[in-house]
This record gives sequence, structure tokens and C-alpha cells, in this order.
Amino acid sequence: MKQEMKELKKIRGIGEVLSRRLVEAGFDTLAKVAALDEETLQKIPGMNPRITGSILAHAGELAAEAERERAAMVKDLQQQASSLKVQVQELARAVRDRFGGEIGGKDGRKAEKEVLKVITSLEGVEGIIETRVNTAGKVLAKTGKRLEGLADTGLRGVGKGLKKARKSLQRALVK
Amino acid sequence: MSNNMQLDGSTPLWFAARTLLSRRGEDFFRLRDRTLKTSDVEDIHDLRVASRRLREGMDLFSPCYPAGNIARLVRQFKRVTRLLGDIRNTDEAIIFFSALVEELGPDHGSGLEGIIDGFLMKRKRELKGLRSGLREIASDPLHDLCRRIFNAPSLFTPAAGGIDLFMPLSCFAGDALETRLAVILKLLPEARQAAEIEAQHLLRIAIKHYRYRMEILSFLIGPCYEEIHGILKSYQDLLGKMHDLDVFAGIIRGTAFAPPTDDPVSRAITTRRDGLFADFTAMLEKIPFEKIGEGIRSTFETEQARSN
Repeated sequence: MKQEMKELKKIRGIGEVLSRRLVEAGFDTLAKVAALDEETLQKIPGMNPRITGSILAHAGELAAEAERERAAMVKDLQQQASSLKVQVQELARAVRDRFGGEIGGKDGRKAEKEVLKVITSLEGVEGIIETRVNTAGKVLAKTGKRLEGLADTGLRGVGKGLKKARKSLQRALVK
Repeated sequence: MSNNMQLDGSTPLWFAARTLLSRRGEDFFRLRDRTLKTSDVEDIHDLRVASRRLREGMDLFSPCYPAGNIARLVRQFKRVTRLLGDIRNTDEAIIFFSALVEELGPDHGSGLEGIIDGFLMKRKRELKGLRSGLREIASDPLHDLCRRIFNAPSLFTPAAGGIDLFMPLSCFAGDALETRLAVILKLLPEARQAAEIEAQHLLRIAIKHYRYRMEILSFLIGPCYEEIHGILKSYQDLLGKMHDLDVFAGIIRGTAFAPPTDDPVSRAITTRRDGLFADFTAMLEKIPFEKIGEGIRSTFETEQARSN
């Protein structure tokens, strides 16, 4: 509730009390408030009827700005996911080039399995970017860190590193 | 599954195979659900085409997968195509013979009504079996199996035919299209002979394979794709109509009322087929396949130069 109230307090004329009452009435986002008509807004106890017009106008501006920011973030995350997939492809190539002889063995098979699973999981996360921006952002950043430096480790290390990256991605998908 | 990553000529083959096959697979199962819901003639046709495209995709990318995995799926999807093909052929026959009755009038076309009735009964039976057949053959477990297999190309295991699975897609695609074109060019001399019905039928199938392969790789071909695709479709339609007439002539010959060869029905079929064959040879003169091949080749040479 506090998070929603904090968001609504960005509207000029809405403080602690009114933001709480708005959230309790079910108007818990900037977009929901912006979509209200003056009559409905005036029914909120303590609302000054002389400023409902300006509250709605400001809520509309803030909601539009938030939507723009969100769209930009979604686009950015989609690009991030795409470049992570390219990174995994390049890692696979580096592994093939570095461990030519070993690659047919157990560790090679594990690394292969993990490369494919990480890509599938990244595609899964791509599918939630629109609806769960924050979760997707966090897990993509974490995956980027986990993939760093893997190209220089041993074959077993690559498999293990990819497995860790995949587990975080899958956890984000389950939540 | 989200597969919205843009592919291009420099994408490694294994990754492109995985993405393109997954897209084709998802497309097939989306159309399966629609067909199960509507049983509409056009939906049935779209599903049949989707099954053919998917099979062509599997044939194209099979070297990227462990031996046996793709073959297993191909067998299943062949059954689906066959199931859908039966009902589609029946629909074509009903449309053709009904139009012929109208064209020849009630006096000449009266013997055909029995044939049409027979096909209408057949269609009823086939439609009844279609839904249960689809549920049984193109089942949800098959959908899961497709996802599992398509998502798992053999990255580090040497591929069939010594193909490098990390090569840029454009290098692989150029050769893959050339292979299909070679089949067409080999069949052409025989298919140009009016009496070589079998060669014309095989040519139609070869063009279909070439076209589906081109559709899968269309995003690499560039601005000339639409024009070439249209030409291939015209060839395929023309040869398809010729083949249909051969099948329908066979049906007429095999019916109980067995009309003499100079009856109006057989004459109408022969005249129509002769006209189509003349169109086919004229088209070969105007747009030879060698020219189509050259167009595609030059596109891939440019694409490969860019990838390198």
C-alpha cells in the first residue's frame, strides 16, 4: 500500500491522507486516478471540490509520463535480452573453438545442454518483460553478470556458470 | 515461447534452425486449434499447408539435429498431411465436377451427378474422422515433443554431412536453395513433353518444396522475394490444375458408367488440360527456372559478402 501511496503523492494536492483514501477506494495507480471523472473524485472524503480538475489534469500528465518511461524501459530490456542471447551464442562458439577435443565428453554435453536451456529461459523472460518489467530487469542484469568471464573459464566452469544463470532466469519465471 | 529475436544472414546456423523450426511448429499448432474449432474448408487447407511447410523446414534443418530426432517427427507430420490431404482432394473434386455439370448442362453432365454424390458422402465420412484423427495424431504430446526437439540442436556433436553448425545462415541457405533448384532443373526436360504426366507431377512437387524452402528463408532474399515467390506460385498452380485434371480423368475412366473417350466430359477435360500445358510451356519460355536461380544466387552472394 505504501508504494501505491507514494506514487499517488506525486500528484499536486494529494498528500498522506488523500492518497490513503484513494488507494482504499481502489484507485491505486496514476492511470486509475487519471481515468476518473470529477464527480467520482469529489466523493473521496476530504477532497476539495475546487481542485479536482487540476488533480485530474496533473494525474493525467504523470500517468502519460510513466507510460512513456515504461515503454522505453520495455524496449531497453528487450534489447538487453537479445544481446544476452547473442552473448550466449558467442560463448557457445568460443567453447567449441577452445575445447575441440574435450567437447564430445561429459562436460561438453553438460555445457551444450546448459547453452540451450539458457537461451530457452531467456526467451521465457522476454515473454514477461511487458507484464513484469522490474523482475525482468533484475534477472537480466543478474544473468549478464553471471555470463561475464565465462568464455575464459574451463569447460566444467562454463557448464556450472550457465547453470547458475539458467536457475536465476527460471526462478524469475516461476514467481 | 517468445522468438522475437531478429534473424539475419550472419546468425549461426544452429540458432536459426532452432528459431525457425520453433516458429513453424507453433504456427502449425495454432492452426490445428483453429481447425478443431471451425472444421472450415479454408482452415483445413491452411493447416495442411502449415504441415507441409513444417516438414520442409525439418528437412532443411535436419543436419543440425541428432540423428533420428527429426525423422521421428517427420513420420508423425506425414500422417497429418495425409489425413488433411484426403478431405482437401475430395473438396477439389466436388468443386470441379459441380462446375463441369454447370458448364456442360444437364444433358451432358447427368452421369457426373452420381460421382458428385459419391464425393459428398465421402466428405461427410472424412470430416467425421478428421477431428478425432487430428486429436490423435497432432496431439498435445506431439506439440511438447516438437518443442523439446526443435530447441535442442546438436551444438557440439559433428553434424550430418560435416556441416559446420556455427556457419552463418546465409552460407547454408544459398546451398540449400540450390539443392532444391537442381531437382527442378533435372525434371524439366522430361516435363516439357506433353505426354509425360508423371514428370509434370514430380515437377510440381519439386517446385512446391523449393517454394516452401524459400518461404522459410524469405527474410534473407530481399526485395526480389515477392516477385520470385509469385512466379513459383503461378507455376505450382498451373501444374496443380493439370494434375487435378489427370486425377479427375482417371475418376471418369474408373466409374461404372464409363463414358466413351469422345464423350463431352472427357473432351472438356482434355481440351482444358491441353490449354494448361500450352500455358505451362509458354511460361517456361518467358520465365525460365535458370533465371530464377540466377536471381536467388546473386542475392546470396551479396548477403555472404556482407556476412564475411
